[in-house]
Amino acid sequence: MSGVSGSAVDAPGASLGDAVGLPERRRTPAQAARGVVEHAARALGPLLLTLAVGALVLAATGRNPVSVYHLYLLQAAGSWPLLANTFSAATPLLLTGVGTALAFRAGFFNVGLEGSVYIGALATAWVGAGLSGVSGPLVASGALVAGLAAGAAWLLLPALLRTYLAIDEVVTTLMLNYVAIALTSYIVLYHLLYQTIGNAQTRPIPQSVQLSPLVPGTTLTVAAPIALVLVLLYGWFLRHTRLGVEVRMVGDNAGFAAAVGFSIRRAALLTMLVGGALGGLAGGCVVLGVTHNFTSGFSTQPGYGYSGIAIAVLGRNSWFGVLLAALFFGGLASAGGVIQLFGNVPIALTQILQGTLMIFAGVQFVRFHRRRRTLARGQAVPAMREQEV
Amino acid sequence: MQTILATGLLFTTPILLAALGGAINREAGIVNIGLDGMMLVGAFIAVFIDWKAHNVAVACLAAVAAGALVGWLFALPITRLGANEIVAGLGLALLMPGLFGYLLPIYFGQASTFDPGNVQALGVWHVPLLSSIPGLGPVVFAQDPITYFSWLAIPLTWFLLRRTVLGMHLRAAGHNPEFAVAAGLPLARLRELSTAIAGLLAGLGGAQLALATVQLFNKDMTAGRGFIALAAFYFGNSRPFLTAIAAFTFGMADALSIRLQTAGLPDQIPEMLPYLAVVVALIVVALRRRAAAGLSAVDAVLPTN
Repeated sequence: MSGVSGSAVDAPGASLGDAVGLPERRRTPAQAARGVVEHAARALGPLLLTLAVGALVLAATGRNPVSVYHLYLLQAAGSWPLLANTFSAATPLLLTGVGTALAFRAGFFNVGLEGSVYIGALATAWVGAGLSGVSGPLVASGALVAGLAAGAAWLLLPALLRTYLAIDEVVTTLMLNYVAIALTSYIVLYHLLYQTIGNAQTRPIPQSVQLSPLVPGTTLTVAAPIALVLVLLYGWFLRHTRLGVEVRMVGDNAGFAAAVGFSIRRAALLTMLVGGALGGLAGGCVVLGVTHNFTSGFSTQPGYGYSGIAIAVLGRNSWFGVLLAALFFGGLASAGGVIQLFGNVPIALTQILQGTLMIFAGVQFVRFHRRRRTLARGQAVPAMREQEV
Repeated sequence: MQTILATGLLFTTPILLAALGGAINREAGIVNIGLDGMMLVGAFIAVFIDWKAHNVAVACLAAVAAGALVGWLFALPITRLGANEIVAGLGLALLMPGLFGYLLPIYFGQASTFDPGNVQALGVWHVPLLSSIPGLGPVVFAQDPITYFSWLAIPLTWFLLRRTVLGMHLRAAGHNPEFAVAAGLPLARLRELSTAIAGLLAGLGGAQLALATVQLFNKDMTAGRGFIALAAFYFGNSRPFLTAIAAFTFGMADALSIRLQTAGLPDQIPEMLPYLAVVVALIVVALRRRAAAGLSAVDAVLPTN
């Protein structure tokens, strides 16, 4: 079924899509451009609100918001190496953002990528530092695959509970995040401890296995283009594959999708497990490219997985939206550290901006034809409500 | 054993208060993941006002007011602008430590701790007669006033939700929003009110956290207690008594984990307990529901919870 090419879907897929209000499969460039503009307009509201709140905090504490924001901009994109750092910081966020968006698009509120990031990172660190006598790139690939598999496996339980017992995935995935953080910290401390510098760390990844910087002096590695390709692949998948149509249909109207023979169960398992895999890959990329070991609690505020949720919501689950939102979060993170140094502004300002952006991420000022999505008790996702049909 | 119980009861209070608030909030239709941030606000305001006013009662009232205000403000983007409550809740839990991490260096020259000294403690009230029961009496009935209030809040929450008109309206807003709207109830305002109540209780929990034993504020002092409260009211399925039992269990686990840590044993196991307990509880509930429905298999169209 998944092997069916795009053209085979044409007749039934497109007409069904029209029936449930899916965008048409073939869009003119003008329509595509309008879609992009609409997404940008939707994301602009939360961004402006966040900048306004930040400006208020800055002004109230006697700082000039304009000059501070200017400094952020300079530090995030003022030169090629700085821009490379922004892209590097955005790399795991692209992966967690797109992994979260995939499940959201199918109507499953999978917020468990933070856990997958930890489990995947630990698996990558374990394989990456453990294998010897094999060529570096081979070990690196193996380590990343291990991270990917571990990240997916971590979300297998909540995915199965969702599909077979109808257990709210919001709660299970959220709870398992805390379990993953404690579990990895336990494993490192009691079974894989190499040294403790602040936090417990595993054995460092050998030089030959590390992802080497594309731009010298930065942490921009081959992981960045890989993440970028995966984001593009996500957009292509949704639009041009049968499974992608299925994912969108289940997300838009699960009852209808089930009635016409699409499998909700398959959509749930697919999107949550692939999401977990992308989370695991994000963790693995950080280990091989940036930290070069697993440090317990390494995914610090706000956490790669949690940022991914905000990015998916801010980007309205579209590949382009995810790309922009991830770059914005990446820029904040990479410039944030320097603000205190040059701007006489406490470093926590970045955390304020990130938190505010998360609060406002889903805010809509102009209501576009879609139903308002509230999260009533036991009805975690809009799709679930329609499944009663 | 007695000291673990005493510590466990002390640790239970902020979790219990926030969990009861979260339960009320959830009954009204909002899953509150921002409790941790609200608790932190309560903790700071309690220490700050106590330091300024030299009056612990005023400090607690201020913490309650601040918590309720933050709760109400937090609800607005969700109820009025369609923000996602889960993401917003995570955002608030990130924003609040960030805000104090920003303000403390500017106004008090401290990176993360605010310890002005000369802050009045909550004090311990010995309940007459009960506290002289041999054995458990001196441990259980020698608590700070907020802890006693938290115990009182368990039946009060039940009474509010089950026996008052307001409680009925709140539950209608959460369980059957379409009906609530059709009946002319102000859905958004009810949800905002419930979030303010959650903030109020979480803020009071923060005041206990800051004033019962240490009398200082640290921007990381909640240490995820708001999320443990979330686990508690999920475990208790938003029912006050079950939620309280869960909060007490998690408080005891917390006390135990400190004991294990000092003994050099892994404290990560009790750390995981609240979260694993919720997953297990959900599985048990789902299996029981399935058995009750007499289903041998769940078919492709999933039932709602």
